[in-house]
Amino acid sequence: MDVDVVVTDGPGLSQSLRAIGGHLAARGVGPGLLLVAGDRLPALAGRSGATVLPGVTEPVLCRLLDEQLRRRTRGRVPGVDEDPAWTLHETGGDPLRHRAIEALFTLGSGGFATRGAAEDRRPGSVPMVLASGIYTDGVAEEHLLPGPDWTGLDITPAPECYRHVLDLRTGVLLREENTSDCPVRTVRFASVTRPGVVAMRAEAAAGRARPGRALRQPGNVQMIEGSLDGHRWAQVRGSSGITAVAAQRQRRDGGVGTIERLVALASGKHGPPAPGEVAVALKVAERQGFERLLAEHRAAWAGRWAAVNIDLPDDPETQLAVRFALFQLWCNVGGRHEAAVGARGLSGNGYAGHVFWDADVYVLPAIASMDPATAKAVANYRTHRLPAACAAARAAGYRGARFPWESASAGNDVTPISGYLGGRRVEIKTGQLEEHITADVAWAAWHCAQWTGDSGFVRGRHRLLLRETARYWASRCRLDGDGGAHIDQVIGPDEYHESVSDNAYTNVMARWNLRAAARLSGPATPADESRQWTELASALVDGYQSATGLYEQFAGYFELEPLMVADVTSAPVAADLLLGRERIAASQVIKQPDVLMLHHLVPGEVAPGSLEPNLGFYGPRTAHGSSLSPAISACLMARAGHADDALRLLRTALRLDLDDLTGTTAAGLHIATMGGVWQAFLFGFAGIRVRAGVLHLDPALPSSWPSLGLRFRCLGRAVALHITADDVQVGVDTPLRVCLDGHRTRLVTGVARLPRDARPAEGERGCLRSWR
Amino acid sequence: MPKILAVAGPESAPTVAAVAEAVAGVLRATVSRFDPRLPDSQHATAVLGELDQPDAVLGVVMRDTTASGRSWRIAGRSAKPIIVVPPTFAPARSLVISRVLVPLDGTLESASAVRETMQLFANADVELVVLHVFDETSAPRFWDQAAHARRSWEQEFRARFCSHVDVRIELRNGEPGEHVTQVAADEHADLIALGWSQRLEAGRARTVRRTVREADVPIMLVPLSPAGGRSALGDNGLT
Repeated sequence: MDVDVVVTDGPGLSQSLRAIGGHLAARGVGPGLLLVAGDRLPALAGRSGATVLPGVTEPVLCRLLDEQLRRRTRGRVPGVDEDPAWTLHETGGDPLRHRAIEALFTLGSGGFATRGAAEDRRPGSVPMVLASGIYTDGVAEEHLLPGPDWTGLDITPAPECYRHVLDLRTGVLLREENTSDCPVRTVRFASVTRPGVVAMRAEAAAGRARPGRALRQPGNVQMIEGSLDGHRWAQVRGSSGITAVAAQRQRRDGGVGTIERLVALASGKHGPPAPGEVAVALKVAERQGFERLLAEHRAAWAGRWAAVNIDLPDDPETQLAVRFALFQLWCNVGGRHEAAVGARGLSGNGYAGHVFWDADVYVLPAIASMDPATAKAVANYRTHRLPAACAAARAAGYRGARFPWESASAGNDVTPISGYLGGRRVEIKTGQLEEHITADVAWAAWHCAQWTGDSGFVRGRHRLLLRETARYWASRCRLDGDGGAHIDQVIGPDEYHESVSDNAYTNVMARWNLRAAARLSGPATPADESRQWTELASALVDGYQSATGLYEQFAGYFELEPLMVADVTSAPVAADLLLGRERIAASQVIKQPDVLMLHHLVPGEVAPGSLEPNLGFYGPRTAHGSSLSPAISACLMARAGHADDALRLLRTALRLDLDDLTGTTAAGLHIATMGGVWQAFLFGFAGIRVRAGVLHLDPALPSSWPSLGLRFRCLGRAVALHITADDVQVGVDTPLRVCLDGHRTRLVTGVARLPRDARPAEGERGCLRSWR
Repeated sequence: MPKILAVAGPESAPTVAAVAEAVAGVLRATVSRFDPRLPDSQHATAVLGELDQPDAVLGVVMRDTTASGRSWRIAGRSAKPIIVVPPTFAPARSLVISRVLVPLDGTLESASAVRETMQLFANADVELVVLHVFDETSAPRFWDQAAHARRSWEQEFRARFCSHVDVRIELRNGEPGEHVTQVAADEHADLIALGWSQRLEAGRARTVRRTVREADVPIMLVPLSPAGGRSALGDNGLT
């Protein structure tokens, strides 16, 4: 037990107990960590989830407190509250999941993350410490640089049967041996309050666990190490570097030996920081001590969850999976001045840690609703690499800025030129042709400003970004003799069809980019140029056919074989791998939403009422062969009012890593999918849009959910929604203008209950709002 | 000392013996020739009886032409691995097993069947090439970016199914049966090692059947032990 609550007898006992429980919950101490002891206890105590010890007299209480103090001074491993609504459990018994578990149980904070590998190394185990934006040397094969491994212990014999418990509520990972009188137990966390500080405790029968080297070499990466003031330090170096400084000590508690390790991690863009600098943070952490570090860390997590959370009591599995997604977004996305978000975050070496559009379009909108400062850091990663993007545009013979499909430290294109489609070696053209990334980057900066309400964010360097990306599109477009503007030879988000012209997504995003830049143009942009952008935007063809309400995905797409995914197999499936690249390219089967991404990102740029027909057309043609696809598709289905279908599709995204549906979770978590999941709740089921400083709501709940509670940050406020079929309760910390279901906008102060109209039947909502 | 049973009549004896000697060189075993000269109905029983001896670790037989022939009867009932030699196989004067192709279907069962076999060959410095074929049943649901997906997929496949031995992985798309013999030829494999369930009823063991029928090199058929997990080869003191 971690915390004793002692309340005195007398009137108001139940009330006191409740108040103290609430006080502790706000500090991340859940009822499972409480021991309620006394000689006479109210019935409430038994229902609180706490362990109840009745009939306890004062001397016994004193002994209990002494016991707690002794455990602390001897460095015993604290427990976690194993509340099923907040914890993930793994037994380690399934050999196929060993490495996936390491990724699933990644802990991170402030741009550093550590995989959840067991302390005693197993064959195939991949312990890894990664830092945001810290890559190996060189352009070719540039990948994230693993830092010194701080989690290794020498345990003999190693535990054979054990379980992992990840407590999402407090950001603590517990590992416990199942079969021993004196089990091996370890606990670790990555301090939220002190980014870069990580802590671990372990206990086992005396002599069984030895600390060994506190900092170990990460794989075959060269590491230099030394000692400083009694601390061990270690460094790895690429184009940048990571330094770790560690302190550890051993203690005894009767027959139990304990190990405590505190480590400070720091990274530098131009090489590893000096150990002496990093040791300062470690010394502060040491002075604070493990117990206080843990207490402040728990409290910080409690603060996070108080502001950002989901409440879905009628679907606890979904609720837990969404909390896991939020948890890992917090752990994997971080950085003070800028945040490079690789495709697998910091949870593994998959995709080399390269930054794709995932960061801009899938992760940033989610993070903006969780931690606006970090969302700005994600946008800053791009803005800081604007010079490289300008150089890339010049090298390609264009003006402005062209962002790379895959980016790493310097912002130049690091996309490989070949790869494999299953067993077949293929040329990779995304680096040359998947140009929509340039508009995606501009959109992300704009969205960040819109969502956070920080209009100043798109001034200065970000306005420059919008200007230079617009200049790129202006120089990239081809004008035909009829005044139409075209973009030739690109790859859209559907990567099954390469080298296509007038891809609707690319063209419309370019159009949006040109218009946004024109609206925001400042004195540095000549008026002629701004007007030219506006005219060019209007001239860009978008493939819209008013008779059907459909957008043609690219010129000639409708002429392809009208193959449906169901004709071949069931989605999700890597259809190109199954049927071959040529066969798929000749058909209308697509990998992921392409036209429909426009309805998701820039609904104001597509024809009113066009979501429903395009969803109906492209849905059956979508193989969902990209892990990005299910969540955003679910989001769009919910917006169109097909909430039950949306939930079915969303479950794939929710379970993608938890059930290792890709077979590659071991290489890292699919962070963009997690961002997509949260977006599906915000923009799909809650139907949130922010326009001109107003929070618009248009909820659509699946029939199996009587209610949905969401907490998030928006427009500089903390917002809480409780959505039912009848009304939406909106809570805000400062007044906010809210518009529900397209009705009158009203100013909400504190908490307001907004009644809803009679809801239309599913599938009849397509014409209700312009963005559908 | 472990013993390899070379089962052959006079015509096939040199070929079968050459294969048995080559495998014995890898496994540090001796070769024992066995020619029961019995009618078909009793032949398999006699061979299986010999294979049941504790020191017998595997058998080598010449492939016959029918599915109900002697080689299938032995392989289908043997608890020990059986190497089936194609009749057209013409071994070099001093046959050496230097490269083995191990097709794996991405299930724990098939990987378990050949786990010890792979370990034994790896310990003997034999190059191992693992083949996995993506077909309708095994095609991944997601293949995000062709530039990177294979590396992540292959790392995990290797960790799960390749027993932590050093192997090279070859991936193909299509029907497994059509690729095994082709890759064996392309890779100049000296032997193909296939785990199998010993079930020959209709619709089962299609890849095994086709490989045995079409391969130009010997095929080691490793039965999955009934206890599950460990293959028969590893249960005989060789590991």
